[in-house]
Amino acid sequence: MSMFSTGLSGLNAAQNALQTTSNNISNVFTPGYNREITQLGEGSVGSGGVRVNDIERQFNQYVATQLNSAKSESSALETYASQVSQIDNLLADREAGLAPLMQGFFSSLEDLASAPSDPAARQGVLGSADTMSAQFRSFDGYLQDMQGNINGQIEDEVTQINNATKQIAHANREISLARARTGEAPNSLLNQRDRLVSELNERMDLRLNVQDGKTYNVSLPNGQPLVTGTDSFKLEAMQSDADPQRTVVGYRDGGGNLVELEEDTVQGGSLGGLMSFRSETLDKTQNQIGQLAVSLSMTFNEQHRMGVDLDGNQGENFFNVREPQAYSGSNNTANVDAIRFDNGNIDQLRATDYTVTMESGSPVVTRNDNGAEVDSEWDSGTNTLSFGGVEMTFSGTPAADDTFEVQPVRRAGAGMETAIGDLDKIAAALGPVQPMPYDQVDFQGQSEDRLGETGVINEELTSGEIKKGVESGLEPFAFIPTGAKNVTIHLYDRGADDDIQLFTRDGKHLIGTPVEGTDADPSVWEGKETDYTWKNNADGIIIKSANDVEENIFTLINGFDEGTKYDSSHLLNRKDKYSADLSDPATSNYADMNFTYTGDGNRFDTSPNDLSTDTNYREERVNIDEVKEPLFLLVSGNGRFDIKATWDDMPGTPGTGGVNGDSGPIGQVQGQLEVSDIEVAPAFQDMDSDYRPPSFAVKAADDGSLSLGFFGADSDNNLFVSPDAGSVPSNPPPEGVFSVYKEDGSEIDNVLSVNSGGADTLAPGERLTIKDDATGKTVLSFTVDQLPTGGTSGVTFTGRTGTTGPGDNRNALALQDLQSEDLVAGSATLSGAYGAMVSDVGNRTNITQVNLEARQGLTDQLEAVQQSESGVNFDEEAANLVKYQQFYQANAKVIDTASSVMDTILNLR
Amino acid sequence: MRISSVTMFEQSAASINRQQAEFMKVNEQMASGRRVVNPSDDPQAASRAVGVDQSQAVTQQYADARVSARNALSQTESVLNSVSDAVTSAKTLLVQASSDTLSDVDRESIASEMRGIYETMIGQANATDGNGRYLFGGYADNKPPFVKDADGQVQYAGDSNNREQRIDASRLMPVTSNGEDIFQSVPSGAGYIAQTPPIDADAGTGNKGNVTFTGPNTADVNADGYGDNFEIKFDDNSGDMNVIVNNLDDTSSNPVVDTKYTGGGEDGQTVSFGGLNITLEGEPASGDTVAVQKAGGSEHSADLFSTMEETIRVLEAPNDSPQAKADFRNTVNAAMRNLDNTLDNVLTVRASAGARLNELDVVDGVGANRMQNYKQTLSDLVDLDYVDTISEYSLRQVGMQASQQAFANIKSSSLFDYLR
Repeated sequence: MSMFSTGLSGLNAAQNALQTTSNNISNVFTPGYNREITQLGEGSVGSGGVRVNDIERQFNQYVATQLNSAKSESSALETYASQVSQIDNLLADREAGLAPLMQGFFSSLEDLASAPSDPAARQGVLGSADTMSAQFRSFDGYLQDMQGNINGQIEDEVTQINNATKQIAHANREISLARARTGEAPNSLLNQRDRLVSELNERMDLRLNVQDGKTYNVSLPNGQPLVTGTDSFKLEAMQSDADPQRTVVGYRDGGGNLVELEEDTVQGGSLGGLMSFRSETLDKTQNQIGQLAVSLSMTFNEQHRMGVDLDGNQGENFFNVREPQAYSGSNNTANVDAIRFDNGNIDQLRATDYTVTMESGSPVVTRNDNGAEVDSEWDSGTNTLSFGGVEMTFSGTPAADDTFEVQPVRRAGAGMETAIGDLDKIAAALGPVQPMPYDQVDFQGQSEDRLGETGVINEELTSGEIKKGVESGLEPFAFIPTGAKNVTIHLYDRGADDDIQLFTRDGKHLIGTPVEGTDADPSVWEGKETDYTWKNNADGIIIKSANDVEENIFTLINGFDEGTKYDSSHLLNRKDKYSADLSDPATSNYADMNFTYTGDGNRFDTSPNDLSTDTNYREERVNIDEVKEPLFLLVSGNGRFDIKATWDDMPGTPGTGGVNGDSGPIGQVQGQLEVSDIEVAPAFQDMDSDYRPPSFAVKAADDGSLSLGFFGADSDNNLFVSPDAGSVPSNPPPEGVFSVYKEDGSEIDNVLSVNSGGADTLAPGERLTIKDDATGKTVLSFTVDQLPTGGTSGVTFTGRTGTTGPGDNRNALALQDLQSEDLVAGSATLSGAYGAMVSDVGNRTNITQVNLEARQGLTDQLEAVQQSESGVNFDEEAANLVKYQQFYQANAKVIDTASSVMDTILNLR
Repeated sequence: MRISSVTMFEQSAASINRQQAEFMKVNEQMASGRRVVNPSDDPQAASRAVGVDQSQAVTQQYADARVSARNALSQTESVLNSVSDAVTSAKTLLVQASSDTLSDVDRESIASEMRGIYETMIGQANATDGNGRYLFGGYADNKPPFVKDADGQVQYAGDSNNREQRIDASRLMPVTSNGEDIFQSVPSGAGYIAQTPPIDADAGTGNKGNVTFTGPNTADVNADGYGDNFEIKFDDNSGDMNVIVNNLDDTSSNPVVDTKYTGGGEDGQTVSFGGLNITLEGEPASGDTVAVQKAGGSEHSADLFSTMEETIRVLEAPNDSPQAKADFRNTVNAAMRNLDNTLDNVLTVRASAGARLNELDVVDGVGANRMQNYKQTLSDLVDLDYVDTISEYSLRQVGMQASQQAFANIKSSSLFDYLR
């Protein structure tokens, strides 16, 4: 090997080294560039010289992976922080924030209370209400814009991710081709690929798997691949199945199917930051604003409706409320038909969305924010589900696995607006009316209470089937409704002289055993041990007189009107005979009903079953050809009995207390009835509180006929309806309680059929007067302003006597007081809830910023570590430049020397 | 460890950035004067501040309510002041008019003066507040509460409510008084008033004789029947005039007095019943009556305006007969007592308004104190401590300058600089 070639190899190496150094210098600020070092080696054995073994890329896969994952986290936090600080800034605005505007609104109510009829004060209330509700809308608008932006950003991120994965797959291919060609991969390609991985990690946390130390495979945290070798798979931004307003990330797998990724699958990176900000903070804040809006609006409306406006009309809703939103899953069999706030349960509203899933026949409701299961009420009859202050009706019975996304208050802020524009309509005064409290009460069902605990006979018995071992006593066994045909009752006593008794609702004893002795000497029967028939099993009460019947049997709880008088003038009593068939019966007729009776009506048994040969199974029977008015069946006695009944026709519906179609129950009250000029007389308070009519409802049938109903509640809060729509289609109603008169003094006789062609009519604007039948005094009078054209509307009277006027500020005071009441979720005042929201957002922002700083420190440190290995240092390169320049010069000198040596030789002459 | 040039630049830049951000934060705090600008600066303080702010706003609402309450009560007080002056003037005139030496003409001039006072009283009773709302109409404050009916008699058209205002968290204060309470009530403990039926020549009503009364005076408030209403009736029992007293509320022991009338002479006759003494004088006709009634009771409802109307009636009527004279004396007698009662009542209502004004002052003091506390708390929570902050400001400034200086140094320390 000659000096020449040695020098040449040195020159060559120096050139390479200089090239590498200058490359390092020129790429000092190039992102993703890794420092290169020229690896020199000795020339091949024997030949000497130097050679460039490798231009080595200074890259540490371990550090790079660590750095990538750190970057992924700090990028997530950075995105989160920049988003959450927007809300933080929104809440920071002291003057235009919600709290000062709510304060302003309630201050204006204070002004209203000071001068209730002053137009300026009224204008102030409307003005501040408008400002406040506008701020609610703008808050929600701001947050909704953020939702929209996030949807857009998710789409962008997904596009970028797809680009990156595609490029990685491409780089994999290029690199393997280059390797195949030269056995070496160009450093620039490798740098590029590592940089793509790093960028990808800043968008989303992904798994990198290096196959054979050459090929990069990238997959989602759940294992689904995004890059395998030279293939890449796509993510797609798609509409969430649960909520079409929401963009989520979907994965399109090899088969071309698009699968929605759970939101928590996407972690880390700016995409993960966006997703977790949205589900942790944005949704919650928006829900909190909505919850605040709904709680305020609904409770304010309720109080406002209790008031009276300047024109003397009952208050209307003050705020409009946006109804809850619900979305049905795309594979559902049933959809959401209707959803609304549950007036009585506004305090159950929470700042969260819900998922309803149908499981084994009944829906399961879970909160979306913490996954907790929530109590709900499910009525499979009407497909109605209520929970958390919301009531929703499905279009049909949901099938198993049907899912529904319910957002009760999410967008409620957007719908908040003042519903009234007329100053006079502010109800600052308090009048004798309040909103119908039972606005969803089914009066048909409730009327069962009026029948006490007595059920209809087809609830107690199945036609033709015997029921054994029933306890006899003084409680009615069942109720036989009007319209029942060919009813036969078989009673088998078990040795304690049980007897069938039939009563009408107005106290006529039609069949059975006399209650009073006809024997002149009461000692024959009174108090005798042997008196089995009219004795109560439980407490030993013995019925001896009409008075005893009235006190013990004719009670409200048994279903009789209070004050019902016992009347035995129609009693069918077959003293000494009974038989097991109806061949030798006693008969009677009352009110067009024919009774056929075989039974022992003898009160004066001297021993049980004195007439029986088969002491244990005597049978009594009674047959009624057609029931024309409701009958109570009671089996008196001091033991147990077996009973069977057969019938051809039984109109009563089990569970409804003997209601049949003809009686026209009032049904559900759907809306407020408009009435005016209410006068509550002092006699209202004097009236027996059980019968006071605080509520009045009108039901309009399709043919235009009306049914009027008066509702009350007794001291046990049992509702009653008068007339007894549920039990007795009384005509004329309502007997013995109160009567309804029109202004001309005429009485409405049949309040169940008004405007149906009969004598009774009612037109809008007519005045009704209610008189207490017991005292004859007027208790209440009012003008009906509007009649329903369909459905039922009702109104409730508070019974508050006295007058109101433009100077009345009582409702204004009550409205003002709402600011100090726990309206939100029943546990926080409005400002308290707002404060909690401020604290929530503040904490979240604060924590995110602190975390970001900590995480950024770590990332910086890792970056420094990575740079310490792969980064270029100017000073080092400057030294290298000098070093390799000298290297070059020295080698040149070698050639120069070799040349001089050669010259020396050549010049030897 | 190797340091790459990128790291050096980036770290210096990051350090400057950080220092600048912190410097700007302090700057922002100083500019706004608040320590907590964003909720995230101190979430607990920010959320507590919302609560304190709300308490402050509510306290301010009560303070506003007190302003309007004070306004209403002061107006009530000042109007009632005028009313009591008017009642006093009416009384003075009555004393003047009761002199026997006055002629009909004199009395008529007193009557016209009295009518002036009467109209003044109606004006006062229909006083309005600054907003044109009637002060004494109860809730019916949009129309005059006292209006003359077709017969020229003043009727109350308001209601018996008093508007209340929430002047403090737990105090609902009545801020108006209704006309019924002021002009148609008597103070508790008001005594008895006797009166004879007014003479109406057209209708033929009124006493035919000329009996007058003095009293009644209360002798024993524990006597049987005290508090009931009585009627004294003269009955000609075949030539002998008897005086019979019936208890109208408790008829069980009627008549409570049945004795011969002996008051025809100079001294009159004192009759005692139900703890009362009344002296009767003059010549009654059979069937003449004197009602002795509890003021403000069921039989004798107090009413300033009807008293005034009665007084004017008798002042304007000529005293041309013994009956007319007796009617005049008796009516003036009753009117004096009625006016006394009204005056007492007006003064009571006025005193109660005054007491409430005092209460407002007390609550104002407490409220101002509370307000001060809230302000202090709020300031402690979110406001800036300038001393601390200014020193921090200097510190941050130094820190920022130091980091800039460091960057400048790094920039200039390159090996290339030496390779020339």
